[in-house]
Amino acid sequence: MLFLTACGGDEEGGDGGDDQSDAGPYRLGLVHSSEGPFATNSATMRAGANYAVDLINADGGVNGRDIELVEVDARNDPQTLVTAIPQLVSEDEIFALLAPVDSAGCEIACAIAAELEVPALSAGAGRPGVLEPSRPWSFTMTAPDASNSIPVLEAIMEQESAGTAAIIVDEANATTQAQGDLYREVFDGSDVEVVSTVTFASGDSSFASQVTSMAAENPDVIALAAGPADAARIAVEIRSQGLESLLIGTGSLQAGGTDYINGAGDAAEGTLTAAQFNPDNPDEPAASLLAQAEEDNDLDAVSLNFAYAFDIVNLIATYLTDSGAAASPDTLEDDRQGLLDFLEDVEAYEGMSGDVTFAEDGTGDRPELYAVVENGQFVISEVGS
Amino acid sequence: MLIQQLVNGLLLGTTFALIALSFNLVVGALDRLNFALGETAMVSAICGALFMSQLDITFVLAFLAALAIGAVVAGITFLLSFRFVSAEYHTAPILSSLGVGLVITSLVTRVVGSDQRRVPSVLEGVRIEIGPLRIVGDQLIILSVAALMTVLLYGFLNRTPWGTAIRGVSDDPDMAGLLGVPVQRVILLTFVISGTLAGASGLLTGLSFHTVSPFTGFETTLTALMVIVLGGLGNITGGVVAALMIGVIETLTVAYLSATYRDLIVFLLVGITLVARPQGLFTRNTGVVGRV
Amino acid sequence: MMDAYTEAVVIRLGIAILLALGYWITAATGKFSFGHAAFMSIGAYTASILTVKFDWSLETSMLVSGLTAAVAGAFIGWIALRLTILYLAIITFAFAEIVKILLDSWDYAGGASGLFGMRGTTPQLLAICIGVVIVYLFFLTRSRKGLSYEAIREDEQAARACGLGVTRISVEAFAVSAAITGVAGALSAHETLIITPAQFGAPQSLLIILFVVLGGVQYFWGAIVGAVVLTMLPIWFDFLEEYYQITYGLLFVALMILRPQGIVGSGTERRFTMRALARLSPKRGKADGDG
Repeated sequence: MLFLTACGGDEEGGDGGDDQSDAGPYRLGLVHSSEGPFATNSATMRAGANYAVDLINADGGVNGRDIELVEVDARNDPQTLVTAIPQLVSEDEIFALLAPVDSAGCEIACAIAAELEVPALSAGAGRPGVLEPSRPWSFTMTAPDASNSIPVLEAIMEQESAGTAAIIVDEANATTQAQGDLYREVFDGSDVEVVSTVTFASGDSSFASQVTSMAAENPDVIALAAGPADAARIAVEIRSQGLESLLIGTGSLQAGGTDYINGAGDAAEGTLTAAQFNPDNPDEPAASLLAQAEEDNDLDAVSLNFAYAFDIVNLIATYLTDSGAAASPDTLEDDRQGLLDFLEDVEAYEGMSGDVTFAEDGTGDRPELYAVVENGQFVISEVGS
Repeated sequence: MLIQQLVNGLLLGTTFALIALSFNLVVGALDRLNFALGETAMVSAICGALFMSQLDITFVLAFLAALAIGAVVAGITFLLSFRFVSAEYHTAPILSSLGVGLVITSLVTRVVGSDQRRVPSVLEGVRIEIGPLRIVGDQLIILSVAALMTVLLYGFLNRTPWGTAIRGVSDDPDMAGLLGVPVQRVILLTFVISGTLAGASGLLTGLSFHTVSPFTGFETTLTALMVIVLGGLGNITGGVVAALMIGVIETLTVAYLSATYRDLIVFLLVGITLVARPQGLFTRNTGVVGRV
Repeated sequence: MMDAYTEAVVIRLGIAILLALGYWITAATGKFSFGHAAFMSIGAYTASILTVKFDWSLETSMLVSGLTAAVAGAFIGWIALRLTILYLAIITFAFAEIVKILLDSWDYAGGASGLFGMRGTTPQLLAICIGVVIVYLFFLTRSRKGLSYEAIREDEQAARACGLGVTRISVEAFAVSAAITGVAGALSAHETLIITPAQFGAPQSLLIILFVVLGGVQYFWGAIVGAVVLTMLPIWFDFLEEYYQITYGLLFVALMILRPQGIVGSGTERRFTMRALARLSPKRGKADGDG
C-alpha cells in the first residue's frame, strides 16, 4: 500500500530516481480548448497544470530533468483529436496525457490514447461512462455524480424534511439525463413524492413554460438536472415567478459553480448541492497548497479544475520520482505501464484537492461534502456537521 | 394554467418575431439570407448585458446601445459578405456571412470569455395578476418593446420616403434604380435596420432567458429560418404570425409533452409546409421564393 | 510502416476526400444539401451496430451502410429536390436535425452517449473506396448523364424544357451522393472509435459543403482540393492558436469576394450553352428512358 504526500514546493528533488539531467525533459501532453462552452474551464485546467509544472521545475525538476507540457488546442472540435493525440504520442513522444475537461472531448481523447497505450488523466469529465471505452488506460480526478451525490442528497432531504419535489431535466444530454435518474433514486429513498417532472433541451430560449408547469404543483424542492449555465437560468425564472422552493443540485453543479452563481446572481442564494471539492479545505497539506496557489496566481478562490490539474501533474511527478523511470523511447512502454499500476494503487494521495484515490472504474473517489450558496459563494460543509 | 402557458408562448413568439423581421428585411432587399444575424443579435445582447452589470447603466440606455451595436455589425456584414460578393454565386454570401458569424463568436469569446452573462431583471418585483394570469416585469417590457418596434417598423416602411424606397428596392431593384433610388444605399440602410432589430431581439431574448451566452448565435439563426420559412420568405406579416405560432407550439409541447418533441414538431411542421405549400403558410406571392 | 500520427492524418484526409466527392455528385446537379451529416450518421450507426453488436466485418457493414444511406437519400431527394435552393437547404437541414433527435432517444444505439468499440479503418480500405468513386466519377463526367448534371446545374428550367427528367436524374444523383457519404460515415466511425449523435450536427454538414464550395463545383477534383486544404488547414495554421477561428472565418470572407467559384474552376458559370443542350435533347428518349 502506498502512502504519499504532494511534492508541491518542499520536495527534495528525487530521492528515488537517479540524476538523468542529460536525458531532456519529461514530456506530458495537455489537450485544452480555446473555443466552445468549456473554454473557461479548460483555461483553468491549463493554468493549474502549468502552475504545477513551474513549481516542480523551479525546484530542480524530477530526477534532475524538467517537466515539459506539450499543449494542443482542440478548439472544441472532437475531430481534431483524431490526429492531435497520435501526433502527441508519435512525434512528441509524451509520457502521459492530461485529457480534456469536457466529457465529449475526454471520451474520444482517452479512447485514442488507450488505443496507443498511453495513460490519460482528466481534471474534469464527470459524465457517467466517459472512461468506459478507454479503460484501463484512463482516469479522472472527478467523482461521478451517482456515487457521490446520492448519499449527500438523501441526507439533505432528511434534514430539510421535504415532502414534495419537482425535477427539471435537460433531455438532450447524457450527463443530465443521468442526473434526472439520480434524483428519482434520491427521492425514492427518502420518501419524497415527485409531483412534477419537466424537460427542456439545449436551444430553449425561455424556461417560462417549464417553471409555470412546476409552479402549479408548488413543490418543496426543485431538483436541477441541468448544466450549470442552464441551471442558473432556471433558478432566475423560478424566483421571478415567485416560487420559493428549495433548489438542489448534484456535485457537478458545484463543480461548475462559477457559471451557476454568475448566471443566477441572487436567485442562486440558498441552493444546496452535493460537493466533492473544498477550496477552503482546512486540512494540510491542501490548506497551504491552496493558500500558496491563491497568492501566486492572484486568485480569489482556487477552482476545481485548477486543483485537479495541479494534482495530476504532481501525481505523475511522484511516480517518476519514486520509480526513477527514464521514459526514454525504449523504456516508454514499460514506464507507461508502470504509471498505470501506480495510479491503480494510489491510496490517499494528499494533494491540493484533498485526498485522491481512484475507484475501480478509474474515476476519482472524493469526499462526500455538501455546499450551500451564501452571499454569492458556495460554502462547503461535511455531511452531518 | 393553459392560459398562462399560452401567454408564455406568445411572449416567446414576440422575441422570435423581431429576429424574423430582421431576416425578412434582408430577404426583401437582396433576396439573400444574412447568416450572421444570429451572431449580430448575440454580440448586441452580450454588450448590452455587460453595460448593465458592469457600468450600471439603465436598461433603456443599454437597449439603445444594443440597437446601435446591432446596426454597426449588420452594416459591416453587408460590406464584407454582400456588397463586394458577386451576385451570380448563390452560395457565396451564405458562406461568407457564416464566416462573419464565426469571427464574431470567436472575437466575443476572446474579448469577454466563454461564460454566459447575466441580464439583470428590469422592473424587479413588478407582478401583474389578472385572475389566474401572471405577468412579471421582464415579460411586460418584452411585450411592449417588441410591439412598439414592430409598429415603428410598419410605420417606417409604409409612411416614410426611405421606407418606400426599401419596399421599392425589395419589389424590383432595377426599376427602383431607374427611378433614381440610390439602390446600394437603400440596401445598406435595410441591413442597418435589420441589425437594429436583431440587436433588440438579442437583448429581449436575454431578458426572457435571464442570461446571454456567446454560443447562441447559430441557434438564433436556425429558429429565425424556421419561422420565416413557415411564414413565407420575405413576407413581413407572415413572419410575425408564424413567430407567434411557433412560440405557442413550442411552449405547449414543452409543457404537455416533452422537450424532445418540441424540435421534432417544429421541424416536421416546417418540412410538411415546404412540401405542401412551398410559398409558406401565409402568402400567395411566389415571386420571392423563385428568386432566393 | 506509417507511425500512428501519419496514419491518422492519412485516414482523416481520406475520409474528407470521400465526403467531398460524395457531396460533389449532388452539387454537380446544382442541388445543395445542408444536412449531409445525416447520411454520414446513418452510415456510421448502421455500420457500427453491425460490427459491434453483430460482429460483421467492416467491409460488409460498410456496403450495407452505403445502401441504407442511399435509401434515405432517395426518399429525401424525392420529397425535396423539386424545391428551390434555399428550401432544399432548409428541408435537408431539418431532416438532419430530426435524425439527430431520433438517434438521441434511441436507447439501443446508446442514446446521447452513443456507441463505442468500433475500429479497423485502414488507409488501404479508404484508398480502395476513393479509387472506386474516382473511377465512377471519371466515367460519369464523360457520359451523357454527366452532361445532363451540368445542364441541370446551369439552367434547370432550360434542361426541363429540353425534356430532361430533371427530378429523376437529381434524385438518383442525390441517392448516390448519400451512399458515398454513408460509407464515409461508416469508415469515420471506425476511426474515431466513438460515435455520438452530436458529432453529426450542423457543423459537420457545413464542413462537407465547404469542401466542395471551397474547391469549386466545376470539376470533381476541385472537391478533392477543397477537402485536402480544409483538413490540413488546422494542422498548417496551428501556430495561430486562439486566433485560428478568426482567421478561418476571415479567410472565407476574402475567398468569397476574390474567388466565389472556388479554388478550382474558370468562374464563368454559364459555360453551358444552348447548343450543348440541343445536343442532349434529340436522343433523350432512347438514352434516358423517361420524359
